[in-house]
Amino acid sequence: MKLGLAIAEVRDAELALAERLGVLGERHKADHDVYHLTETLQRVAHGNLARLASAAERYDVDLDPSDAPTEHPAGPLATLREKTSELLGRRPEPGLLLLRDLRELHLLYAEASINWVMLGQGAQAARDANLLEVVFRSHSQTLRGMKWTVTRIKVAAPQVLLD
Amino acid sequence: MVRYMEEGTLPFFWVSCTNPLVSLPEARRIRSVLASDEVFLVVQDLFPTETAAIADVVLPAAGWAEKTGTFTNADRTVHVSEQAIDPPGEARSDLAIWLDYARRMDFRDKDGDPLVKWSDPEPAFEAFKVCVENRPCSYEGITYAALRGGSGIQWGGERLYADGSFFAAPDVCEDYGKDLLTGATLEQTEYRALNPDGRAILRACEYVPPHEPPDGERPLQLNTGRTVFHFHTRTKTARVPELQSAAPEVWAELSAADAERLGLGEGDLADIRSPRGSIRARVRISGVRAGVVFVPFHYGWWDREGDDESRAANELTITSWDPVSKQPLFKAGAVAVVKVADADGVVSPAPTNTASAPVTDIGTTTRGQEGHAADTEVQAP
Repeated sequence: MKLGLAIAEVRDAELALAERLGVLGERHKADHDVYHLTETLQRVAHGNLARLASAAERYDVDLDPSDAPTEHPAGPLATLREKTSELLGRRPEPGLLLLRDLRELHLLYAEASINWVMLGQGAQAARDANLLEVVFRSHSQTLRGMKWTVTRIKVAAPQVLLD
Repeated sequence: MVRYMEEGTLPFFWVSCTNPLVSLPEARRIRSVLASDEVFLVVQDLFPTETAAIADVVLPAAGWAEKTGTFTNADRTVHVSEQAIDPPGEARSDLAIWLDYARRMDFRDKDGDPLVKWSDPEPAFEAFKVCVENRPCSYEGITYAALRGGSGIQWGGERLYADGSFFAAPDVCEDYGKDLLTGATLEQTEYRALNPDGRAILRACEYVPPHEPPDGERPLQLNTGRTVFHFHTRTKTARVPELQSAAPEVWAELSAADAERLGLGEGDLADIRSPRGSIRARVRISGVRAGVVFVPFHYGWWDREGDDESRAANELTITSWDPVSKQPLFKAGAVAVVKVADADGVVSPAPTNTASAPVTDIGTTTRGQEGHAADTEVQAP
């Protein structure tokens, strides 16, 4: 059975999301809604990973939650990114950078989403009701983040592209 | 918009009857953006405000008794308000100012005719009615003549949802709704899938912790808000002697437990500090919840000597807003409160009645002006 493989794919995608959300939050600190929402969505990704860990024990996949990156990690590099954001915040270029970053985030969400779909099909075939329930709840959370990237890109694009 | 001004992609900002320099969160940021040479700032108001003081152009506007127009109450009642007196000096109604602007800018429609084809309040009202025709908030049947015939008239009639018919149908509704956690908009297909016709849709959201929770360094949660004696940034209410004398100056409310722990008493001068800035205010020990310090946001510096910003509550607030309503989070930042000076017999300027009432007798009472008292005898039926 290769269900463990599908679980690892979901784990990697959600870990990548959590890490990317942290980087984006620091980079766009002057866009206050992005700064705060990436923190919220990172917490959502952690919740997904924790649920997955509880349901996937018997599939022998390493799902130590402490692997997940912490919210807006502190440290010299993070501080540098935040300060750069605050200084660059007064110029139009960050708008373009924000669009590019949101698009990249959207694609990471799409990858995580399709991984949850695959795992859900596997859980159904394996008749693992517990895992299926986790997939159902977590996938809907991942889709929330993905929809936010679409809404936020729609908000940002006209101002950036017509300037 | 503030963010776009900050980035330099929104260079022209026209403020009408509001005062963002004092009312928006993180005042230092707002000041630096609006005062920037990159932003051309127009302020249109009845009185000089803090924002008007840094504007590139100030347009004096007429007050409600100095112009004709309609207004709609929160219960949908539309009223016509007639001009009673002439505006002072060069002041003109908002409508007259904007029409003059449209004329000078030579705004045209697709046929090359003037974009705005009316110049008075009544035709403006008729033009507005066309904009909301066949929408849930249609003003059909409401005219100046009908409004002058009696009291106000409710748009939509007396009963809005007669026969249990709601505006939820996908082709009728104003909005497909948003995710309460992120503000992401629902697509039409998602909304249709809910089969909303005639139903109310209730959305829930899990608890989300504040972005800046109190900690060891800043142990109190800041809650900014209002007193009933003032409206917004006191542009009008500070000019009403009764209201101004009831609440003449900023204060900070603490619970008895927090005040004792911090060694603060009634009237002590305190420094209140957040990561954004600091203010000074005299302490009132009120019925406010423990762990919270309340500061009214009404007080700026237009009626003070110089540009002393040390009493504007928004020096302290955080730039963050609810993702759906976009309402700033004025009640979720962390602050430290430290005593600066003893009261020395002075009490806090907070009203002794309403929400700021002290928990113990402080020896003074908020009262109306001398000679304004009235005796009313009420007889039991």
